[in-house]
Amino acid sequence: MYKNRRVILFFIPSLSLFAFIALYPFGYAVYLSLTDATLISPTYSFIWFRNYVKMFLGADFWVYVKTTFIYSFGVTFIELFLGLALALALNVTEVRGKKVLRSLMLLPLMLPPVIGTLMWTTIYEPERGPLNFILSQLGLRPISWLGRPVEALSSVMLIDVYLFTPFAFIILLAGLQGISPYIYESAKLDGAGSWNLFRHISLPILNPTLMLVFLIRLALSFQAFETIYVSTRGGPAISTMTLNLQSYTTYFRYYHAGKAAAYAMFLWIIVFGISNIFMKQTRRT
Amino acid sequence: MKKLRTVVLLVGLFVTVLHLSSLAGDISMTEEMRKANIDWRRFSGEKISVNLSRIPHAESMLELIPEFEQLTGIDVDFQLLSDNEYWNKLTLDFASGAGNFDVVYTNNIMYNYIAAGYVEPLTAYLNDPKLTDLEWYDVDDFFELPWETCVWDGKTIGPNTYGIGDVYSIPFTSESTIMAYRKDIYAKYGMTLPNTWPELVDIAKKLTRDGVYGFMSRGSRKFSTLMFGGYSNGYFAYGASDFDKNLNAVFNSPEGVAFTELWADLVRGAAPPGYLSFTWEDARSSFMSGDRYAMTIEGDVFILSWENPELSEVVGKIGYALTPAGPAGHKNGQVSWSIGINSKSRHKNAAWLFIQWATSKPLLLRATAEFLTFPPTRRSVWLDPSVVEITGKWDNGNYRKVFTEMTEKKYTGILWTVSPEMIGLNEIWTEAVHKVILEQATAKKALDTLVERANEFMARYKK
Amino acid sequence: MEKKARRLLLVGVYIFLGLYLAIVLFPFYWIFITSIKTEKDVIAYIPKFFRFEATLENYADLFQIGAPKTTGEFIGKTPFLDYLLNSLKVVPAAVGFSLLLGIPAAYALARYRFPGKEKLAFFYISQYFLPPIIVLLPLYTIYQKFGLYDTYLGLILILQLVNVPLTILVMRGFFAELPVEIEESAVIDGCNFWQVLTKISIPLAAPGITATAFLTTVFSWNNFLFALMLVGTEKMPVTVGMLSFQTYVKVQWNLMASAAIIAALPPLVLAFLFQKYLVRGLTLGAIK
Repeated sequence: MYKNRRVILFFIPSLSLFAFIALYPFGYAVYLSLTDATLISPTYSFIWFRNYVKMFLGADFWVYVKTTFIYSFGVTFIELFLGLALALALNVTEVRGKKVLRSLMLLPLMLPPVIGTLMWTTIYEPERGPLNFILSQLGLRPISWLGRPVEALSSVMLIDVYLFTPFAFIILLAGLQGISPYIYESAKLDGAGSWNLFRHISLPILNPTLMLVFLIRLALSFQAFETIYVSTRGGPAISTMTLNLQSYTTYFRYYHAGKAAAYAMFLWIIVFGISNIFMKQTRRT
Repeated sequence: MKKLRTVVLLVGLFVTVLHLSSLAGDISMTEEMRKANIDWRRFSGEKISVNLSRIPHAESMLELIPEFEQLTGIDVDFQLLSDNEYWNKLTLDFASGAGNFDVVYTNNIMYNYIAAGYVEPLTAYLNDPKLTDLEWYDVDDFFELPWETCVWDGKTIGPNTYGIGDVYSIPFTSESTIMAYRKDIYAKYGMTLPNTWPELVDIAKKLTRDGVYGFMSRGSRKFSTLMFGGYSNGYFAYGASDFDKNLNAVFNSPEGVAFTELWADLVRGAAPPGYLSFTWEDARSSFMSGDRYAMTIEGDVFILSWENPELSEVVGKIGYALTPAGPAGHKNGQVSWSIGINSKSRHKNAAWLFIQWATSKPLLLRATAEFLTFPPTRRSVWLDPSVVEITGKWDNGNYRKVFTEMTEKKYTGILWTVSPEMIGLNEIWTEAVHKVILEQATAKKALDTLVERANEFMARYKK
Repeated sequence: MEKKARRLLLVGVYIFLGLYLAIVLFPFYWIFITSIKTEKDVIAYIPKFFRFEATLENYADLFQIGAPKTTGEFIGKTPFLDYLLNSLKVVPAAVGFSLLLGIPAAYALARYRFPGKEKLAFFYISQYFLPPIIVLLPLYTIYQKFGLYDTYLGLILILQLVNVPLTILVMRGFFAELPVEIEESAVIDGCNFWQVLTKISIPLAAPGITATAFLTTVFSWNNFLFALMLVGTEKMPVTVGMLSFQTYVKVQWNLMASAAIIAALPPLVLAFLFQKYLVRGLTLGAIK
């Protein structure tokens, strides 16, 4: 570890850029949220916290919050568990073709999310999509994947799971593979069975990694955009309208810049809280 | 050897005649233009930038741009963009005031552009005899309603406050929402056309059987759903309105609630389960493939696809009709594509010549007859034999009757309150109706909440 | 007994992985066949899985090989090639730029000790996690004011918002793994600071840099929201441009599908060829 006064030089290029693309707009957004500015009128006035008051009092607002949390926590938990299961499965010694399997399983993460969502939107098509066709062949009733509230939210979450499970998978796999086999050997000598090996050795060792993956995915899931924008735009009604999407819609479809900034600000505060926990967690390990 | 030479000569002759005759066709278009008693070459040497979306009208002009350049000496820089890109780029150019485009496509529902002063009022250009030969151009040839909806004073907000003020763009195609139904399916179950909306819903529900749905249209969470997917036709026919003269939201009036409940009943009882995710594209393509839908209420522009044997499996099986009347008569939602001048343009006069040319009788006739710019906005085009021939085939001439009735009797128009917030308002309205359909709220409750939100939108315009 | 249970487990594992892979690969299959179907087949009510006439026409249309179409179709040029070129131009530049900005910062965070270090690290990382919408909304107007809207430079700059934190996150771990002793002995041998950095630290961290570069390349290419909001039609990258296969009267799914395949190829191919680096990048970023 070095100590040097000129260390700041290392940071100046990136920090100056961030001042322009992050700090300045952020301040502007805070200011915007306190006005009634729109994108189609040149004049506006400063209205203090009226945007926030109206936002919190809006009946739909808490639905957006609920939807956002269901989405974010839902996909994060599913991706974590599925990723862990996949990592454990691939880690089983006797499995052949691990390299090939792994590269195939990584594919959805490398796909541009907009394209992945487009793919799933066509698959979900109620009329001519393959999913409903398969269902009808099996004698089941077709499902309105994107046309009914519960189904739409689930379908959209499924797209997220499809795209980002490989993230949890690959990191947990690396974590599992990093566990020295000797630890297992000595435990087996003591008579431990597979389940106990997992529960008392693998899991505790993986715990910090699990925590990390959880927090990373959780924070990022609040930013989810393509999975909803391309498929449902927030509908039907507002059943897939997360805070992120509502902010975008308010800005680009209703042109209400001030209100949109208020939504964005609120979302930001939520995620800020979560990333604080993340930093505290990583500093502990 | 001799035979080969003859053949070659004949072929050569044939090709030449073909070429000459096509040239002749082009020459006559310019000749038509020359009949206008104006000096086309007045702005010779200027350069204009034309920003257009990829629609058939643009394609009808594409080949003829060189002719325009020859006619006027104006250099035209032509940009064709896809729909999405087009609107993005346009909004941006307007907002930044850059004035990069002189001529722009717009819609008659873009009152926000007019209010913000983005488009140039055209009345002065029309009335300038040195710029426009009014007799030749013939403004009266345009159907009243598309034209009037492009006229506004830029500030009077309220129901039907269009038609006074300046004309801000010239409409060249105008799409109305009508009812299209499968004559064979209706006949099979002995159904006739409904006279009232409740009848329409009843028939649709009765026809929902044996793998067929009685109704479908666009239903997704977008402003255009309510406007052009059938709801507005019935809502306004019931005598309900979105705002009153004093700009108070009145969605929750008894008529509004009654119709919304009826509509939700229609969707729940006769529409396919995926209805709330149906886009206009789904509506268009689903109606013509297979025998799934007995009826749809959609834009008549889709008839082009439905009656096209290369795309449609149901050519000739569709009947067209007005949506039923209500206490307030017949109402048809409508949207027109129109062409206008960027208020920040530095070549406005030259741009006006282009617009005059692009919306003239000869060019709009070509746009409709050859390039399927449909439906037309000029009477002369609608009555032209070639157009009559094509459109007369649809439903054995019934479509022509429907079109004539709704244009002459002015059923079709801008039903929604004229304001810069029209699009945003229709979007939150769609949200509310979705909730009613999904039984997440009663019609009264959802519309009450809508009234609150809508009043917020309008707050800044109330005096 | 143990062996039988083991065998059962293996069967179960294969079934599980097989099912998962089937789900992973099906969308790729579906979009691929959509891209080689004709328009009528795409909107056919009964979806065609195998029995349809395949055509390469969509790809030809995408790149304008052959005669241009007429009414209702794209005539003249489709902008798809332009979109592709835009992505090809912007992404490497964005990645290169982020390496320039991020590597020094990562090195400093790994090697130096100074007050507020963790707070600074948190600042960088938070830019990656915090919802970008909050800066994108104001940047929509700010960019226009500064003439950055719809420019390559504008897109390259905003991509740094996610690229630089990612670079720092990953490279910090790589630098931390490099034994300090090598650098210290170089200093003893008379190297000055710059020489240590350029001749020793960076070359040793090459695998890490490669990993970071591939990660940021893939994520920059896949980016959608930034381009959607801050780029117009000229410099539109392929991820946003893909959505423009919509004419006034219809959506051209078959064209969109072929565009999707082409747009998805670069990151997929890169990932496949260099997955070792990608994995190292992803895991070192997350596991210290």
